[in-house]
Amino acid sequence: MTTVTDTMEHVDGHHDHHDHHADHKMTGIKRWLLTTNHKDIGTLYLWFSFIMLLTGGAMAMVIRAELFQPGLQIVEPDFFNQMTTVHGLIMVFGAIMPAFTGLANWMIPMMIGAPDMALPRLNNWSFWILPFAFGILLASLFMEGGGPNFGWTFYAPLSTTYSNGSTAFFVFAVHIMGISSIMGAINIIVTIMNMRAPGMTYMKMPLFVWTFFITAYLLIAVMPVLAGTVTMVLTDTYFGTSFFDAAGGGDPVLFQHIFWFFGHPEVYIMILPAFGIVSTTIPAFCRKPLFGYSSMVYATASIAFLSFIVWAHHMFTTGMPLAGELFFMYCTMLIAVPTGVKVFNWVATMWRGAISFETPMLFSIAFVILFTIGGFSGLMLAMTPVDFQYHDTYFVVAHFHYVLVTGSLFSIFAAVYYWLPKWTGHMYDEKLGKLHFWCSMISVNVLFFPMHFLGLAGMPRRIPDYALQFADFNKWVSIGGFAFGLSQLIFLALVIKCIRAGKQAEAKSWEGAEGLEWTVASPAPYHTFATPPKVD
Amino acid sequence: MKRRNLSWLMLGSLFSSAAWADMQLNMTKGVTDISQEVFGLHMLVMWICTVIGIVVFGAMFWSMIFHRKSKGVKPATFHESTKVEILWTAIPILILIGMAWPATKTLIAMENNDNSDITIQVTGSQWKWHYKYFDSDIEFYSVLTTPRDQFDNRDGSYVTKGENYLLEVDKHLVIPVNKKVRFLITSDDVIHSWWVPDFAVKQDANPGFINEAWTKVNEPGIYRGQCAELCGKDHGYMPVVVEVKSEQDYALWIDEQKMALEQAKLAEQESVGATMSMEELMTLGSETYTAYCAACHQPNGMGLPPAFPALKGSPMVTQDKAAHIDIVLNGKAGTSMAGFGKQLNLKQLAAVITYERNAWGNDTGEMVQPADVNALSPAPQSAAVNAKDASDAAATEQATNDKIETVALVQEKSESAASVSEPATMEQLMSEGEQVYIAKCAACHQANGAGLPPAFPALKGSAMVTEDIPAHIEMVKNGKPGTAMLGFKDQLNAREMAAVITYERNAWGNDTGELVQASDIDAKKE
Repeated sequence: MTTVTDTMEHVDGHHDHHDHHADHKMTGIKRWLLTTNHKDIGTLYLWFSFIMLLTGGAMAMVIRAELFQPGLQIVEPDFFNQMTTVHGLIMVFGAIMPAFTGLANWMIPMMIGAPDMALPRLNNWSFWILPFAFGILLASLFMEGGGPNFGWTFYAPLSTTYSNGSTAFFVFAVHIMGISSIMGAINIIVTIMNMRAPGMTYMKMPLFVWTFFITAYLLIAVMPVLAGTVTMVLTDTYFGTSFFDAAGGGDPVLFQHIFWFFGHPEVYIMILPAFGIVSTTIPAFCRKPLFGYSSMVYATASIAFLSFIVWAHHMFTTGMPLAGELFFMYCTMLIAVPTGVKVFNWVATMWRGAISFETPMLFSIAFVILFTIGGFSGLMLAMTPVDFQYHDTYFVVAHFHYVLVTGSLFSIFAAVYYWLPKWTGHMYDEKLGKLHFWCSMISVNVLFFPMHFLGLAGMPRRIPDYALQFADFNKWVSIGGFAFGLSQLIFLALVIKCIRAGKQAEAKSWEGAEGLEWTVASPAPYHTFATPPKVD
Repeated sequence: MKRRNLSWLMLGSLFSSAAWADMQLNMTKGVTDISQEVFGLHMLVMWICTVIGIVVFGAMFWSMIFHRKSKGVKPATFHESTKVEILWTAIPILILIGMAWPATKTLIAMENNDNSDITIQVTGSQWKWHYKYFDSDIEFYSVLTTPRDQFDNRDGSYVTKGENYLLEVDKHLVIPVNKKVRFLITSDDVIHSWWVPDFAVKQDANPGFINEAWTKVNEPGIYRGQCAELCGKDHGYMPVVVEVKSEQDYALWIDEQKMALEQAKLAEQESVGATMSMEELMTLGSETYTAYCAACHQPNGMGLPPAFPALKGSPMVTQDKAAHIDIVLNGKAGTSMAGFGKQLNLKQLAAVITYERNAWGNDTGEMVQPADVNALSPAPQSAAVNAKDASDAAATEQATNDKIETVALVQEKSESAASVSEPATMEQLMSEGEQVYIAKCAACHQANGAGLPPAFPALKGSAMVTEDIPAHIEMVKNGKPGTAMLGFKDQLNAREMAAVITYERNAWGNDTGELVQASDIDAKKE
């Protein structure tokens, strides 16, 4: 792996540089609106995603309150559907993806020894269009007829012929999110290809950088497909085309093929960076290098490749021919191989290390265990004959929340705790961090684990009310949900506390931390690596 | 306190596999061979995952306990091994092959739709299922029957929920046990998904396309499922209920349905001429509205605009009567408004339209009678009296045709004689005929041949079974269009038909003394 030869002299040098340039930073709101600095933009992305996490979380609370007991107590079914739809869209496009882009912005230049992202103005734009996208989406909830109510997967013709008036707002919002993601991805690729410090070959890059590099390619490949899909939905709804309408020669299943050709790589877009994060944190807190660096790179690339040829496993019940079902079943099962390699490598990294359990490590360990549970249910879902029973039930809901909440979101928490000292210059409150971890860890399992049982017992997803045999578990799930939601307020308090005060962080804040970012001061100066460091 | 004990019990039951089935923590084993195979596969993968989980998490916890910094351990420095990487790539591949093999076999069996005994078309629409039996005229909608006040508790009301809350419908789909039933699944509007967990059948209903699925159920019973694909507002309120009956019960049920169908048809014809009072119309209208319209247009007629417009004060229901009847009968393309012409009878339609025109202060004072609806219906009923005349005329015409064909019959007889078995005696035919009659005919024409007139005419003393033989044969083989009399040529072979015709011509004092042989049946080709 990367060996850093940068010395403290280098760092002091940069520090001087920073002071020299410090005057160029604008003040007040202009600093944030007009900024082209990767650290500022990273910060904006991270705060934005946290606000979205709370917004989408509030919607999840509405869902869980309604499902607390059988019967309709709080909302009517159409509003319930709007909640599930917008919750999904916000969490995917507003919380998880921008959080990863924020981390990429903050960390990639510092990890590869670059002074900034390659395309700073594009970077500014790709962030600042996001609030408008979500503004449009959220505003549609308050319009006559309400917001999108057809599920985040917006299957035609429910989203076209049979939609309420919100489809246009939804489509434009998704277009803007897509443009933002594509620009962000281009920026990441250009930065990584052109701005690595001298001596940092591809196979010396930190694995974190590798996973974002591959993720960015996935984004560029599939976001245009999503844009095409929503455009077809738009024209089917408002301009009389029939892409997805059999009466006009189209096919509603075509929609699903196109959507999931985007949708499956999309779920890897949300998990590959998480692999990068825990591949950084686990070695740091085991004080031992990552096991099998190159096999990790190859496994990430294999997963990315496989993600393009498994999309129809979301569609086993649509009436696919046998040959199609077999092909997609086999390919999907194959994904378990590179994913397994990654998990085994993390375990091998921990094996005979000298482990300590700071909050980032706790979240990383929880990630490995709970993501693996999500992987197991994924393997079960891959088996076509059994998928006929699991499909569109709470078993699927449990599966993707294990992967996305205890997977992606937990990895983001790990990353924030790990780099918070570098960003703020203060150590966070470890007690509060551990409290946040244990509250989250326990409540998230009360929240999502019983969903497996609900799904196996036959509860379909996206229903506002349910038969009586599902009542007990739904109550547990709701209680877990409220507790998990409240636990995130601890995190908010911790971050604010850490920004305002705390023990001064050292340049290398963690004993086992490795990488160029730990060679600069904490907090990281506004400009870093104006002169590139040298890497062996 | 009791509740908490229950929770612990449930936690405990996680570890005893016997309890799993009872508590519905696990997938159902179901009642078909396929569903049991699927359950087996599910358990196989789950155990494989459990074992892998124990190994991997075990190693992790071992390191967390024994390789921690606080114990003063020095970290090792190893960080790669190609051998190990190859090993933990190869072993999972072998495990996966072990899983894929049985999964493939089950999948191939599931996708084999050949050689079905019965075919039923399943059509989803917002938010109910429609079933149509291909080998008979039986078709019906199946609609949720859970009363609205049981699930709509937003005003804080609470009504005790029934045992099958949200999983109960007015008409069950009925299928026979031990028969391969093929489902042709499609949709009228958005995508739905027809799912019965106990059969391990879940198949999407795509508008404009037909999907196939099949099941062969081993145990009679009532099996409940739900729509599994988000299909709009009331996705949670379109259950699937399948009742599996023994073969005899199923045959009886089919006959009952046919009888009911015939009676409904007669009632429909009668209601064309009926004049209902305002009171009658409003009462029936209110019931119908609550059952079929209130989910979208709301009990108070305020709707849920813009998707589901208000009816209160709407020009649609206060002005042009014909337009109002048309939208209720045929729906409005490109919206969620379905046509109810097929679902409701004339009286219900007239009543619900009248109700909408007069409820919630709409007060047009106008009445709509069944005849008004009938006039605008795409398949209008003729009045009852006329219908009877028409059917008599048709019978006469048919009889004439048959006489002409008799000549041809004699000629054809010799040609097909080779394929026909030896002539049977009167005794054989009578005893076989009686059995066939009981199984196939008695439900309508009754065991004593007295029938249930006027829908099911008496055979005792009937000209149809005592006079012209070819006309009788023709009637049994091909039925009589426009009546409940079916053709039996696909259900009975030549010998059985010969026997039952002979029986009908000689039982209950008909005593024509005439024998009809299998060769007579075969001879009269289409």
